[in-house]
Amino acid sequence: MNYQAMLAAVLLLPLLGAVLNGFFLRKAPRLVTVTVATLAIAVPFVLSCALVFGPIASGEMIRTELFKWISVPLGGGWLEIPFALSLDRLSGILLLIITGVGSLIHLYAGEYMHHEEGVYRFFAYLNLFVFSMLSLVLGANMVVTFLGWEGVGVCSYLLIGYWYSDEANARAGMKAFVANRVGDLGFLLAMFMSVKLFGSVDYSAIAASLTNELASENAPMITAIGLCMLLGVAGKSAQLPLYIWLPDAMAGPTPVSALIHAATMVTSGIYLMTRMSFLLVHSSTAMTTIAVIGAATALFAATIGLVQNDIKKVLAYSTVSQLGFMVLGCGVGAFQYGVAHLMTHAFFKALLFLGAGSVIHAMHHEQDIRKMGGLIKKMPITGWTFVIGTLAIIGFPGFSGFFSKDEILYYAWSGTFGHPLLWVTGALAAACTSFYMVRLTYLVFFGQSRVEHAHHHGHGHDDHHHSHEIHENPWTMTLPLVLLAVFSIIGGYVSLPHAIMHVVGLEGDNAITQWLYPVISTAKEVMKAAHGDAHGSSALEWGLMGTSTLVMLIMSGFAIALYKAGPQGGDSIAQAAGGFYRLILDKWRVDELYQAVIIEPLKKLGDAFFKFGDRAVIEGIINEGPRGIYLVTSVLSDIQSGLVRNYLKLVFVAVIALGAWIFI
Amino acid sequence: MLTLPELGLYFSFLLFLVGLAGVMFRKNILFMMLSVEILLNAANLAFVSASRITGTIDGQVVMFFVMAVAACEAAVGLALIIALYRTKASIEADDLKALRG
Repeated sequence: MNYQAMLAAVLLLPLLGAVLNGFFLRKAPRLVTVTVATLAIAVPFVLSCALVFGPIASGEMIRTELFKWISVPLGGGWLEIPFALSLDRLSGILLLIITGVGSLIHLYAGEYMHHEEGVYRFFAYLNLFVFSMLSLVLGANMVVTFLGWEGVGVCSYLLIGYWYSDEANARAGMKAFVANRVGDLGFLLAMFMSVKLFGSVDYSAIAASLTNELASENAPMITAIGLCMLLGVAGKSAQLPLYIWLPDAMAGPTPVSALIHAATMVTSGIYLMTRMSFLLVHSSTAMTTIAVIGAATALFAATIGLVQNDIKKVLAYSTVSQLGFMVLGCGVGAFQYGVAHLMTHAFFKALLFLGAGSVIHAMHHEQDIRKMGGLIKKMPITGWTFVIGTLAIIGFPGFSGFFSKDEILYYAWSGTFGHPLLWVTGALAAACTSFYMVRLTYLVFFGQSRVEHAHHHGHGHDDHHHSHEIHENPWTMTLPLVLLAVFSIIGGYVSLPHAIMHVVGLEGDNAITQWLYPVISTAKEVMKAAHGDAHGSSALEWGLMGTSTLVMLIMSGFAIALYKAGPQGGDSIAQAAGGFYRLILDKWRVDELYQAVIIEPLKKLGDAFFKFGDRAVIEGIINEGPRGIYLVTSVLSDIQSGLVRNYLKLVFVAVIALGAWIFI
Repeated sequence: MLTLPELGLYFSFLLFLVGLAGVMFRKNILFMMLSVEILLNAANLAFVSASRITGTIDGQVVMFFVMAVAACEAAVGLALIIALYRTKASIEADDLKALRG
């Protein structure tokens, strides 16, 4: 099989799985549904490995055109947009994450969802999501990417609202969809401006036609494209000001949170920015805005995470915060570390979500961490893998998050668009991360058990078969945890800091920089030409690394000391902070702010349109028009009395009239 | 002094008015049909008289056609009246207004 066919198969097998499960296997036994769905992702994973470690690793690029798609006249010629796929080193990384982590999550979901009726719907959506996500990263032009971009939004909506009989879930799905649509507008505008400026939407064609002269002549346009793209990224990757949908998205089943809202969909913004890095770096305004938004989001979400009590909500805000780190990495020009953090985050955050799901599953849908505690004795595999995930996310030296996050923080200070203030913001966010993650892990797995045995939550399914004792889940749920834990440890070594590489005697760039060189080399050259070399040094790198490690250790120790006695440990601080604590607990009341500033005025406007436009104008025409017709016709219909003698009288009159008209 | 055919024409006009009044003001369908017969025969008389006045045969030919049509009309009409009486138990024209607008 040639490479092009393999690439097409990677994209189309998940679609096939979705179609099979969605239309043809609705009555099939659960095992068949799960097997089909998992194989539809696992087989593409094997193919992706063959592709990425074969031709892609040796420097090739695979491009294939499935069919001619759109052809519209533009200027003198034609704008041809084929449904083309391309696989390079950047999409290769994403491909492995999506199919690899995706397969594990499908395997896990088969067990997690085993109480549910009609589970074919869940797996059909999940496969459809993977298909959309793959077309997002494999698209050779913006339009194919946009198709995937919209597709993942739809699937996200469908999966968040999977338990749609609960209105809150349906609302959360709608919120996600609407917030995403706002971002999509940005992407669309960026796409239109690219067509205007370059006459093409193909990434490689744009890259080829974007010269320095063109960039400097059209600087405002380039900045506009960058900022519109940032709006798209803010929607999809949950950045300020559009992050509000992601915490609510936790209403969906936990495997969905792991796959969509941690590992894949939310990182598509990072992918897009890296893909378009050659364009973004031409605009300092756009890059700086991206970096500031990223840093602000990282800190903002981390502060909210400090006080949440729902295990999934903590992880959700931590996801927003980590996405902020990635965006910050891209914004300061260190695209490769944005991608590296994307990868390590995919591992450890999927691990943490799956671990949380494992706990929730064992606790029969209890999500409040104040009602947990001491679970590590009952669920050792879940517990220890969760600890590994926590160590990874807080950046404990040696674990993956340490390398990727510290590289981002280093470049936040020293990168082309870096600034010490960005580092300070990022480091504060990292400190908060350490605190809330250790708090979460400690309250759930260590200390005294606070489990109420008689307490049961559920989604209406039958809980009688279970013993009330909490126990470890079967291998289909723990195997993904263990594998992800392994990757959470080793995944970071692709982005070894230069300072450490010098010490251990490695020369040149680290693995991720070398791997992504073909993708980001243009961006690097542009940054170098415009802004000179990055102004970092080994001493600075060691200093920043040491500082953040020290902060991490202090905050972790502080969290353990505070919550040793139980969840009430933070109450004294909460009381001292008073109103400020309540403000953070209410998530800075951003939802309320949007409600008051945007939604309510829109509702009022809509109300006015309804009263004037709908009621007065449209319903006026609809109602009054027929009423006039009715008045006229009722006169006519009175003539049709049904009485023969009346008709005859009319005939008589008519004949007389006709005769008079003819003869006189 | 009027000739006989001319007298026939005037008489046919009077006869037509009688038939017309009968059709328009009678409410019993049977009498309405009788009035229609009067109308047809008024027309017949007019045809025959005109034929005599002009000295041509056409009018008399048409008269035979009209008589044939009148016979058919009477047969069909009476059958309809019987059918109506069976379903409605009435032959009043005003009772039959199902097609009112």
